[in-house]
Amino acid sequence: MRNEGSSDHSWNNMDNDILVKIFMTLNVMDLITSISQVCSSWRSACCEPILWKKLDLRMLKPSFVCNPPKPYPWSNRLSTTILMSVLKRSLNLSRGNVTFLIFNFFECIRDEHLVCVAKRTRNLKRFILPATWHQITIGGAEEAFKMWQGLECLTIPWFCSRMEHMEVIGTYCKNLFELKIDCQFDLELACTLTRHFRKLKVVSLRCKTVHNEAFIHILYKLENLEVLNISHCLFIQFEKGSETSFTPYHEPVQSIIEKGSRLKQFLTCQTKSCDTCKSAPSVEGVSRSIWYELEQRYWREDEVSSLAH
Amino acid sequence: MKFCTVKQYFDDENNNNVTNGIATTVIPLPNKHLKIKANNKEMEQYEQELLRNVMPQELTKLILAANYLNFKEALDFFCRTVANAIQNKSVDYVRKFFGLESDFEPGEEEKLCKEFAWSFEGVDED
Repeated sequence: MRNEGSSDHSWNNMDNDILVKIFMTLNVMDLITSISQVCSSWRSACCEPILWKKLDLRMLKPSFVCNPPKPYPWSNRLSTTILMSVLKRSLNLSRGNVTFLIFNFFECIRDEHLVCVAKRTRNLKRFILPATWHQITIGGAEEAFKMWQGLECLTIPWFCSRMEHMEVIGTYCKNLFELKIDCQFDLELACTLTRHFRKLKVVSLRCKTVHNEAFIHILYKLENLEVLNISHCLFIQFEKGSETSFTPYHEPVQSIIEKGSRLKQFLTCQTKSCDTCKSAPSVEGVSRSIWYELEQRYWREDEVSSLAH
Repeated sequence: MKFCTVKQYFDDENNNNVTNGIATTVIPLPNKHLKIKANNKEMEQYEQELLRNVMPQELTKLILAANYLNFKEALDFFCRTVANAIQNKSVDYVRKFFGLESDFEPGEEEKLCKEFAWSFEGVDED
């Protein structure tokens, strides 16, 4: 007959495993602003690595203004300060265990944010950049990306016409093998990929405008390429000798389909019956709010499951 | 495996890990769970009802009982219920809910409070 003393369990000395199980369903803001401040044992439980494998900052909605005529949002000072507080606090609790980081699509990150993150996430494997990283300088990109040499998967947002930044990333992140590019894909960008991102196996260009010559270039030159997603793309064929006259196509030409079919996985869509293609803005453009909404969806979704988030 | 543990419980009259009252809530849970598994809304309502009728101290015991009985679904359910109760709440509310006291240095706590003053604007009412 057992007569053990009553198990004097209270929340003060609750099993760490149970605390972590509860905390797993809370978001990062709950963890950093209340849960980790309750008492020292709860703060200690908040540092468990399993809670920080994925750091999802999408719920942190920044205040920003859209700066016409360019469609680039700029955040106010308060948002910038708040972001820095959140980053420092969450990354201190994470103790270097973050391997997957997602920013809010509209987050206007600056050099100080990127470097703060890089210093505290040396084990980062997957990174989803926000759309508005146009304030990152070459120096900032260099300082951050040289700390992310283990990076394997990257989503680069729609505002990306800065080849120097791509070269910096390619210089340091030699292990990058999955890339989602969320901007217009031209020959210059294709050449940058083949020069600096030779190990690429998985590339997604979904919903973007793709220049045929750029497309053919990577099909030939990226020797390790296994998976290519060109669903819902608009294809551009320039007239011979011209840099301004082109013809748009909603489906890839037969020669491209033949070249693409040698890959392990070549993802296209049936444009005529495709809902995503039907909802895409025309080349003449649409209202800014619709554009942002669509761009955010394209950034988040992907037919390649490892690139969706 | 869980039924072996339950049998052992019934065989052992002086088991202090799981009191009678707790057993009456935990043990019927798998049937309830199976019946309403397909319907998330009903599960949510059951969760709300449980939270209304069960004190936080009782919730501790429910969790410990489910853990002791190695009853994963019940443990997940109770932990989720607790998490929903403390989501988007202030530090003071969470402490009060669980009967906890701060053991931080006074200066440390004040510093954290100041740093995150902006975060209390969106928090639910206590």
